[in-house]
Amino acid sequence: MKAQIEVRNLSLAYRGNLALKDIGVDIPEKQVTAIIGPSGCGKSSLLRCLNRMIDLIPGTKVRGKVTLDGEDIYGSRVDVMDLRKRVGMICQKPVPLPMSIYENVAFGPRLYGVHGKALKHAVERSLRSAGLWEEVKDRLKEPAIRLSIGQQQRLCLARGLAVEPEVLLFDEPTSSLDPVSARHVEQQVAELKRDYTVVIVTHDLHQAKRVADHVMFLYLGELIENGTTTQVFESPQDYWTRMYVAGAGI
Amino acid sequence: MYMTAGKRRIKDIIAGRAMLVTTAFSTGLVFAIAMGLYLRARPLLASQPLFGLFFGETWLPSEGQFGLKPFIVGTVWVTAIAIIIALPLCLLTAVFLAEYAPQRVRSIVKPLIDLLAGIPSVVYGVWGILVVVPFIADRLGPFAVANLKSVPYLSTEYSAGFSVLAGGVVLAIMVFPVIISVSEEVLRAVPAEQREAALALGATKFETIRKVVIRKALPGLLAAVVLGVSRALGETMAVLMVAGNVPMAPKSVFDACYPLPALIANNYGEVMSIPMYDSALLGSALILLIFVLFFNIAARTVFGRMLREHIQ
Repeated sequence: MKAQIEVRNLSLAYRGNLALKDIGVDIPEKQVTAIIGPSGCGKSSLLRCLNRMIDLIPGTKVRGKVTLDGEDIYGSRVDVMDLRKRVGMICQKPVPLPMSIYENVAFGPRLYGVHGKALKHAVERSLRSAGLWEEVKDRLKEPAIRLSIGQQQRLCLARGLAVEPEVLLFDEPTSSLDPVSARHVEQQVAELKRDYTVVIVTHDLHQAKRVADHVMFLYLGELIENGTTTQVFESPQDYWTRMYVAGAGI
Repeated sequence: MYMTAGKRRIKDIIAGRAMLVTTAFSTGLVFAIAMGLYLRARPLLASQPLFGLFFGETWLPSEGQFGLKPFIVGTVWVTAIAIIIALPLCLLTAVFLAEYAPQRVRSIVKPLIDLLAGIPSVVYGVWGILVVVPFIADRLGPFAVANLKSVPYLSTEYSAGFSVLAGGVVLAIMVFPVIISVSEEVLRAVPAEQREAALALGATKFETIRKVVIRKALPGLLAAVVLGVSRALGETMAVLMVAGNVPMAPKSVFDACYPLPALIANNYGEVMSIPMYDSALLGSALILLIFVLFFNIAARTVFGRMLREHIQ
């Protein structure tokens, strides 16, 4: 199994405090990897290190190495814009941009000069992959804000897919959704691994069990355990992992 | 000792009522002023057709001719020039302060810009006479005479400097603090997630600002411009000092003009022996008030709805 992203000795300091300590892990290609752990353990920070959105938070300092297809993404020759095109991210709360449904999805491709028929196809393809096309095909010109919150989250997914990324990062994508919409988004995530490498942060252990092939357990900024979903949930090696997956509330 | 519920409820009611009264007073004032102006302007409105007042070219009070067109056109021109100059500069400044400037720079520049709002308008007027008017008379005017012969609105045969342009420039600088302050607040109020969403798709900072932040802030930016325009429409002293005050509709930005506020300030209380004169001046004050009201309402309803439907 090929690792698409390799994280080596990754530490993250935020205003002098270590938020991530010496993380080392391989993220396999075209599989779903879940990052689990209690609140504040550094799950989202780790995710944001993978597409350098962490750069936007003032006062953060990254040490160590993250490679994407063998290339160090913190290297001096890396174009951050290009990296973010290759590594898409879907956030916790859906954020529709202030424009129509169509324009939301077209936003990314337009940045890269896609227009005309190609753009139309890209929008339709992305909306279909996000499982939203049938619901919105007749109202593409409406402001995106009029969609329900669950639809908005799938729109954000479609928007992320439209730039043809290789990796998709999900930051608790279902935590602000109602159960039905959450299930809907979750199903899309599971299907996406056919074409994409997926990393998903979740605090919902059942969700991790349902969608993930691999699981990383973070605690207080450290990678405690890392393995296939069955390994981590059925026979956890570490004391803290055992407590956490048993729902002991650490 | 605890207060009884009854006492506390009375306090609650009194507080609510008191605020209602003050609100009613300040909104009522607008209507009271408009009514007062209308009553005083009525003799003139009754004796002349409205059309003649609005579109009459001749202002000869001693002969009973009160055409207000030169003043209305002058007001519109000066305000338009001011906004044309101010808008791009203010928007860029606001974007810089909100998006690019480090905290330290913002904390120095912002109060300075706000300070501009506190400078008395007569000081701007003097500055206009000392700097802007000579610059137009000595540099821009001759340049236009030589090079802009066939350009509409810019051609001129001679400019003394006291002109629409001078009024526009001075006004533009006077509306800077209003538009910059409000725009900057509005831009900063755009949620960080909006920026993140665009950046996460690989947009550059500039693309993010241009396509997302400004779009999201558009209704607020519109409000900033409305405030600026309202301020410009009514500004009196500074414009009066540099606009030249010739009661003729300008044909070029280098022509002198005579905006409505200047007309009122220059003449009210002076030649009240001429019949209908004060009625005409108060009528023009009413027109100015209606202008500003109409502009505000139109901007808020028509543009506001347009923006809401297409963006939010």
